[in-house]
Amino acid sequence: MFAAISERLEALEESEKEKSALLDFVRLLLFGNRDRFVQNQRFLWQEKFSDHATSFQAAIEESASAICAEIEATPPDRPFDAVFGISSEGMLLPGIAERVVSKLGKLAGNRTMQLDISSAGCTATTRAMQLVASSEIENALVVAMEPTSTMADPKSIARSNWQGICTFGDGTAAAWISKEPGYRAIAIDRTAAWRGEAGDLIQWHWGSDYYRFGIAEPELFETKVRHEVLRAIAALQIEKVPGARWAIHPAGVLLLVSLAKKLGIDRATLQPSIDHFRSCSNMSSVSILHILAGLMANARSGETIQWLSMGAGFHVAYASGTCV
Amino acid sequence: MTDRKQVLEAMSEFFAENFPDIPRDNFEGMKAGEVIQQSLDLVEFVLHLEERLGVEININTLGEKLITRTFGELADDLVAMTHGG
Repeated sequence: MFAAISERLEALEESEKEKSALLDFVRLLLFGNRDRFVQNQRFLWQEKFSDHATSFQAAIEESASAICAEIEATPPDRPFDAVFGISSEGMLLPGIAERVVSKLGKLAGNRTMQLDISSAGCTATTRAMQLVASSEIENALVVAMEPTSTMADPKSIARSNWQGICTFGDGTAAAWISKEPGYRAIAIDRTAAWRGEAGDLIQWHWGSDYYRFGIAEPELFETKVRHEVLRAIAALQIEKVPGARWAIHPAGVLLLVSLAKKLGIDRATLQPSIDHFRSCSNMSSVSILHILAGLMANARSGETIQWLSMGAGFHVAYASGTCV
Repeated sequence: MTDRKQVLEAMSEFFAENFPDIPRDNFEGMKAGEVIQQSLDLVEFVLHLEERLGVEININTLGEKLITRTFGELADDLVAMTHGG
């Protein structure tokens, strides 16, 4: 990744001093061993609106096919009542839910509710679970697709743009939420969400071609995020459950480690979230589902799983459940 | 008020505990980026300094200096930061 970015920055028509400073910034952001999945290998060479939009549509199609293939391999015994599509990067009509329903065939009917949730950031899936858990919907599918690389603006030298490029990875995941207990499922015991006051902390900026990652006050970003999440933890009264497994949205290693200390989570319990960040980077609303899937695969019946997401809004969303 | 000696001692303490094989005879001239290979260790380094010095360190303010500056230079930056510089 560093070599690819280095090559791209070299091609920019900026001063050598500016490019060198930006490369040092990128070096810090990519420090250590970290990987990611990227759905468009040419993402650092997207030049115009149609490059970004085409890349987004292709990524959504690829993700929808992959998710539907997984569902068809172990289908539910009746059609979904509702399908929610989540993404914060782009705009499509037909939307994500419609595309997923089309591919699901008999697993979704004419009466299946379809709704896309956009602009909800990294907490979108946890908040969608909260919505379904508090509703009368009996059999819902929540599908998140975050092709974050489609927003990379390789022509902008804004540091927040490159912070986004270096932080995020592409990915997709889905959660099946049912009133009926299932094998290796989590029985959701509690959901809660908190909205802070730093509404402009994480933003989408835009240039002449497309949206790009933006931060209101880059120099205060880490500090403000930490403060907001710590306020949320206090407000949500998150209890420490001895022996509970944890999934924490991998916004960054600093936040993961400092939150773990605040919540009294030991390193072994935090490790699945760190491992996810190392292998996939931050896949926005998708990440928490991947970490949960890993925890569910290894958990024993009766164990508690807690999860916490934080992101644009500024929102913090929490849930806990018991492994069936 | 945090002074330079305190900062360097806290830095040295972290490396003595976590990277005991690294020679520290020219500690001030070394860079964190040459010693630390993982972001997790870099974060632990920052959190250790916060705990030992009783200050909150804003990684975004320090930025790439964290890995490109020597420990001596970094100590100067941290002293300036804690003094509101």
